[in-house]
Formats: sequence, C-alpha cells, structure tokens
Amino acid sequence: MPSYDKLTTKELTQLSVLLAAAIALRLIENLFPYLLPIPGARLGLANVLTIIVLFLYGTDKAGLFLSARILLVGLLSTGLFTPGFLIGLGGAALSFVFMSLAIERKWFSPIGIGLLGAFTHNCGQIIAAVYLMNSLAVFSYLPLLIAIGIPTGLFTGLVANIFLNRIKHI
Amino acid sequence: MRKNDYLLLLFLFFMAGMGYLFHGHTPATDAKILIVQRGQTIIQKINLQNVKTASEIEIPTEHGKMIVNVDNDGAYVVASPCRDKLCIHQGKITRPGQTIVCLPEEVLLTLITPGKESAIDAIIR
Repeated sequence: MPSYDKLTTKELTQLSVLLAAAIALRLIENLFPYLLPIPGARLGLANVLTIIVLFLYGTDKAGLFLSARILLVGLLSTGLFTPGFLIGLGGAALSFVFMSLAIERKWFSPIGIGLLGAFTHNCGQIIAAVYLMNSLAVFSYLPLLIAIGIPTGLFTGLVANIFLNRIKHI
Repeated sequence: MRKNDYLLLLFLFFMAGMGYLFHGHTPATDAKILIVQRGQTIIQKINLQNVKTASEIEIPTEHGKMIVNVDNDGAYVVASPCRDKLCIHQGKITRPGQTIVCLPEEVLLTLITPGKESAIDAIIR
C-alpha cells in the first residue's frame, strides 16, 4: 500500500540525509574499483543504507529511497539506461524484493539480510546481463560472484547491524 | 547472528562450492571454436585448429576497438577501450565453455567444441 501521504517532514529529512550518504558512498566506491582483489567487485556500501532504511522505515519508503538512489547515481555516474546501469538495476530490484520480503517476515537479522542482499544482487545482475547479451554464458560468472558476495554481504550486514543497534538507544 | 543467518551462510558456501566443482571441469581438447559476439550478433567464428600462428583480431565497439589475441590454444583480450579492463584481467581462455565478457562494450568471447556449435546452451554449466 503506498503510504507516501503519511511521509512526515521529519522522515523526509532523515531519508534525504540517508539518501545523500548512500549516493556519496556509491560514488566513492566507484573511485576505488580495485579495493577488493577482484577488479570490479564492490563492497556494496550503499546497500548498508538500503538495509537500514528497510529496517527503520519499511518497504514502501525504502522502495522510494532506493528508486531515488538508483536514478540519481545513474544520472551522476553511469548514465541512464547504459548496460552498466541496467545490470545494476537488475541487481538492485531483485535484492530489494528479497530483502524487503525477508525483513517483513523477520527471517534474518541485519547480518543475514546483508548476505541475502549481496547474493540476490549478484543473481539479478547476472539475469540482467543474460538478457542484455542474449547468452547464457554469463552464468559462468555466478559462482565467483556468489563467493565474493559472502564476505561483502557479511560486511554490509555487520555495518547495518552496528548502526541499527546504536540508533535504538537514541 | 541468528540461526537462520548461519543457515543462509552455509547455503551460500554450498552454492559457491558447487559452482566451482562444475566450473573448469571440461576436458581440454584440441578442437575448439572461438565465437566472437557483440551485443546479440555473432561477428566471427574461428576454428582454433586452423590458427597456426598467434594473431590479433580487432573488434569494433562503441568506444573504439577491442584487440583479441588468438592462437592455437585459446584467446585473450590484449586491449579494450572500456573503463574497467575486466576483460583483460580475465586472462586467457583455453577450455570449451569458458568465456570472456566485456559488458561496457557488449563483447562476448566464447570457446565451444565443434560438435555442439548449434547448441550453445548445452555447454554452459
């Protein structure tokens, strides 16, 4: 159920700050493509913010949040509707569906959500790439991507967990 | 962390492990065909048995041209106009079923066995 009409000024302000942080993290990540031993692999720092927003504000507002992030990052760096943008979009869409479902059903702690997000993001990227390249050969990258997604997913989940635990006391 | 988190972690390790088991277990054969694809069209098919000396082929792409070294054993990307250079880092492919993908330039290099030329789906693990 869309509940944007219930978005209070306070929430809008908080979401805007988090959105700015997510975009900044994403652009910083783009500056360091060789941070991990495998070129092109990202830590997924921006996903930390998506997880936080999902836990604090629920699926509707997080969906709005993520759409805004994808559009703005697309405009600022990759360019809209380029292959890279579409592949990222596939990953973001699939991971959002699974993460929001898992959070609504309370399946995992934030750490598990981080893992799930990384895994489904990789799957979504591969599916988008298969569609773009019209070749199933791209699937051969999935095991490597899943393997990379385990440490990066744990990392994003842990960071989100630390944030959520601290904000409880405020 | 909760119990479900550990279960998910185990599942992911299992998935990645299974992928590695199936990956790269195609036997090295002499009969190999390199398929060069850009976007959804196949540009070139090269039977590697007919390649006696290493040669370089040029693939025109959106931002320039990609240079691929082809020899009797396999193929690798020498130069590419893309930003990430992932295709170069992927190194040489020598076994049927292996691929090099450059997503920014939409180029796909695949090695296949001649018998299964028409059924690309079947070789891919």
